[in-house]
Amino acid sequence: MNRTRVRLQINQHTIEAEEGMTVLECARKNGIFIPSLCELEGLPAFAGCRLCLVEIKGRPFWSPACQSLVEEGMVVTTSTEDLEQLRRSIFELILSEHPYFCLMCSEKANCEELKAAMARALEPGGCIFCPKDGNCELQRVAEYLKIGKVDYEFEDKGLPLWQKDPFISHNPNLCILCGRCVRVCAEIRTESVLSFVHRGLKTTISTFFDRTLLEAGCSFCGACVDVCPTASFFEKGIIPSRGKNLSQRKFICPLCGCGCELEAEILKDGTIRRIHPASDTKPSFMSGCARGRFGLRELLADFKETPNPEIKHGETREEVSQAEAIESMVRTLRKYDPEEVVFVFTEQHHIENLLAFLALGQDFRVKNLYWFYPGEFLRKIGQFEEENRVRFKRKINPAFFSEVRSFLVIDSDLKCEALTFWMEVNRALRKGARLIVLDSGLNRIEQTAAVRLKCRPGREYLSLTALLKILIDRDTSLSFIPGFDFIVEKLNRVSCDHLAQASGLDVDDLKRAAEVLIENQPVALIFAERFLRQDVWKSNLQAAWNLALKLEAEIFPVSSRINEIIIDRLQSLYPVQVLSDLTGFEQKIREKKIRAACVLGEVPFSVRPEFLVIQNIFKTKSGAEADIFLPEAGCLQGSGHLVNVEGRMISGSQQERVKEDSNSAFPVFHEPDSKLRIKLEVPAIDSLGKLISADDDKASNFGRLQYLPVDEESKQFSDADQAGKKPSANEFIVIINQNLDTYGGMILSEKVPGFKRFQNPDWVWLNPEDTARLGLKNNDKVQIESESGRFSGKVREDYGVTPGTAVIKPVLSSTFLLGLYQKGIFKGWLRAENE
Amino acid sequence: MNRIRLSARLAPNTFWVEVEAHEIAASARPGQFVMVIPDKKGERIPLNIAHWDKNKGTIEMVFMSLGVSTRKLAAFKAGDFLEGVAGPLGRPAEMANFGQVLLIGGCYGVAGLYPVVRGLKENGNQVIFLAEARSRTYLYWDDRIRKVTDKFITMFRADCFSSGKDLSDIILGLRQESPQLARVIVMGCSYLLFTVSEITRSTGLKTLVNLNPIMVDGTGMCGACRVTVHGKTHFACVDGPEFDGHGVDWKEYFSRRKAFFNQEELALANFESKASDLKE
Repeated sequence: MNRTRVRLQINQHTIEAEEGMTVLECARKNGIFIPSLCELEGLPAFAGCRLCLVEIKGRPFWSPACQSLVEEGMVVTTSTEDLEQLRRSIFELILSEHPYFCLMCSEKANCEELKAAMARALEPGGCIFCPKDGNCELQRVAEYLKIGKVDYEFEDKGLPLWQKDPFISHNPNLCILCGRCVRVCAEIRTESVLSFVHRGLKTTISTFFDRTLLEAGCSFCGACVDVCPTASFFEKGIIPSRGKNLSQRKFICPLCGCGCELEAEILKDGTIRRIHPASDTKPSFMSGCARGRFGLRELLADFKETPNPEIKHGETREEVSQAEAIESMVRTLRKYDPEEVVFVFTEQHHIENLLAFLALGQDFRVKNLYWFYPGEFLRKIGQFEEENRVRFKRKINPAFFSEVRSFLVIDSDLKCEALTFWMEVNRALRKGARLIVLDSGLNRIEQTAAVRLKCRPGREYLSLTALLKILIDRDTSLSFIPGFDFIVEKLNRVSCDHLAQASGLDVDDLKRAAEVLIENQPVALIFAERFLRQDVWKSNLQAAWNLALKLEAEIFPVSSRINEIIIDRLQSLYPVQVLSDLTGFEQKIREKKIRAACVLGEVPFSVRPEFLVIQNIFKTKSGAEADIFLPEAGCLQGSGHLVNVEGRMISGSQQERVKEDSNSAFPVFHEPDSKLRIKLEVPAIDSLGKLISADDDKASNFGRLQYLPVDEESKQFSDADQAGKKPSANEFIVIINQNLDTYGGMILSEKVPGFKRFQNPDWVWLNPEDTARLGLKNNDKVQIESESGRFSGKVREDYGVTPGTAVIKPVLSSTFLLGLYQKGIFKGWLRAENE
Repeated sequence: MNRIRLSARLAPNTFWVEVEAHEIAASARPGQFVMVIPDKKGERIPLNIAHWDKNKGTIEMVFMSLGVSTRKLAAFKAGDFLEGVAGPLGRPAEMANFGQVLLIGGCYGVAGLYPVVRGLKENGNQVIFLAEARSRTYLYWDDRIRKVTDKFITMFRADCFSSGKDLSDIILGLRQESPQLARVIVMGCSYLLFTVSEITRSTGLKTLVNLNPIMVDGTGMCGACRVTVHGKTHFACVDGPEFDGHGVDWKEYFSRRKAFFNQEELALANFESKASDLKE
């Protein structure tokens, strides 16, 4: 979109700017410095610090540059003696509540010697104690204003520090109340955890009722730490950077489909000092979450060394070279019939590794090449497409969102499962788009929604059909799209009330949602894998499809795992099958039909074949028990590629390759004198890249335009089930949310203490009404009994859960949990563990 | 186990604890210190005894939170228990009637010198106390000390920025004002000890500094606290902590203090990650 350009004068220079820009943005873009502490690119302006006041000709008062939009013919002066004097006075007032001795201490240079003798003060009050020394925005402003003294007595607020939370600490006594954290938390991250509290001199940043961040529902994205100009919000557990020889390495976070670009600061000895979102393409506070920045840091800190290759000899294990391990693997695998060998891989690997692994499998003529894909999200969509001759988008182009006026998000907690994606949705919401959330379980984006549709679990398709009926009833115009008459006829036979009741929703809510969708078009319909992890997934997809067709909406299936969307492209290169249910697989192992397996990543087998090779980033328990263990390059090593939810093939920095020989997938094969008689033909990474980029756009969004049959019957947990008998008090419908907190087979909550407190896979979320009814409280141990087994966990109260339902988020570490996960929702009976 | 009777924040990052320790309270003398182990897995750290009460059987310490152990100590509340306190250790400050004495305290040293002031007064000395702090906010116990000194002066860094005066101007000014000044005793951060020693060196004024090297056992066994004074090796724990500031090998002293710096930083980082449920 071309914006009108305006011409203005700043400090007597004529400058051209785009309409809608602020004076501050325009000045900065043209290399003119205006001091500011509360303004930050990407954040809504606040005009709180008043340091950016400028003189604008014709205006009676000084104006804050961060909030003054450029105008044609505007004449701006950014620095006069009066202005600088005013700025100095303002800055001195700011400093009267922030320890400022580091800004002007004459001894600073002298005590350099001492700097390396203090760890870090609990409450920084001078340069040698402050972890932000050298990187503090106050220091920059002080330098500009040449502040040599402060005329006001420094006043310590003496407020208690926030130390109880994982990952983030806050010292309110260092806070200058710039409000960046409040704005980033509310406007960008939609958390609204932080806010200004009290008034006047007593103003501070706090949470609702001064609760801890954990209690206030913080998602620990770390954006407050990124934006804080002082050390007030600070990352726990990091070493000050002062005087350290640091190297930076950019990499892509492999923990979810977003593929955020992160940057690790690494000390000379290899310790990861901190991980933070890289800020090349967008402001750092726009990406990254607790998993990548805090979880990975602590996880990788525990495993600083790359594990060595190992071969098992009977009961003992021997550390060998990569070449020896591979040689032994190849020799042993050759003993088996290719039919008896399987190659299984998971998704969190560099594409290069995946391709090399598959090429190796093909070289062995292995027919059983499996992608361990318990969610089966895209496989199911593919199946549905084939059966109905329709077509869904795979790659998500967030740029499209700026035009969307309303979003209907179904069964997907975008904040948790596809954060970057959510930020883009939220950007559109800030510009006035509306959000409708249809979800039966726990969803953290609900608080932002214009209409919340909390349907009964497994009745999503009924809710969508009810919406469709309301839309059709309101708009009686004919449609020539095939199948429409059939649908109208069928829907005429059911009442809206009936559908609403069956889906557990209020008719008025549905009508309000329909209203929003009609009035705010174009519509985007978004769903993620939980929507399809139900027995009724086909009905769900049909209903979503029909609704989208009626609304002429775009459908976005959001895949939440990295590399997930390349599955069909890999299938076009290799005969890759999807492995989701392990029972059949394990049966084959028992029957000796499968005798050898090569696994890339971690797969929770309960039976192991005769010969097992595992290649993984960490030597997990299964790796340590394998016949051969091969180390793999982690996200911080090498410079491999990953494919994110947008279908972009992305890579971290290309600059450094760590331990090149031991970490790239199977380099030994390429050695000319290799005795292994294997010549791997790994397709060039570019060819896959081309495959990925070629596809999607040629496929129309809709394939064949047709309405699909509608389901208006209640299927799963049907009403007939419960007719006549009241469910027992401890009967719950349990919904299983996705858990993405694992990397290379390591479970974050087991290795990172903070994660256990923040996102524990043992938690059973219940509505406080239910806990009160059952006499339970937070952290009580409970068991959920189901037909297939027992799940033990701890109670976690949350009003976001509908009474009568429970939500769990287990890590898929066993076949039992895998089974539960694939069911999506199941009926269970809750008991306190001591009963 | 020693029960904590009082735990308070005196100034930013400066904390005050009162601990039950009958035997120590019964035998403590000015200038001595104790070794404290905060919890079962804690390390031993030396803290100056800032005050004691024989009748109540309590001792008081003032410290700054700069590492893992002091972070743990700062989190204790009244009623909690320290794993252990050993002492009194170190040689008491030399006591006699010297005439006029200048005491310079900074950070924790303001409290650490409090018993020394009282001791010197009891011996008939005229005591001038110079308290160094970043600003008024960082000064504590001034009311307590004022009562027992003849002259109480403050030097706030914040004032220095506008007046342009520094420590040397003040000390040399005092020296001129009071020619009968017999000695200077300094307690505080290493930088203060060093700076004062350098300022007084040319005047020939006897300057005693309370050194604070890394100390492990505090009883002369480990040798971690060795310092070189006038070319001779001393253990700060049994031969000090008070030494002639003009004889200290400062270069060695500073470098020895840094010996475990990387480990200390790492320990603090790990502590923060692992023990995120610290009491506030």
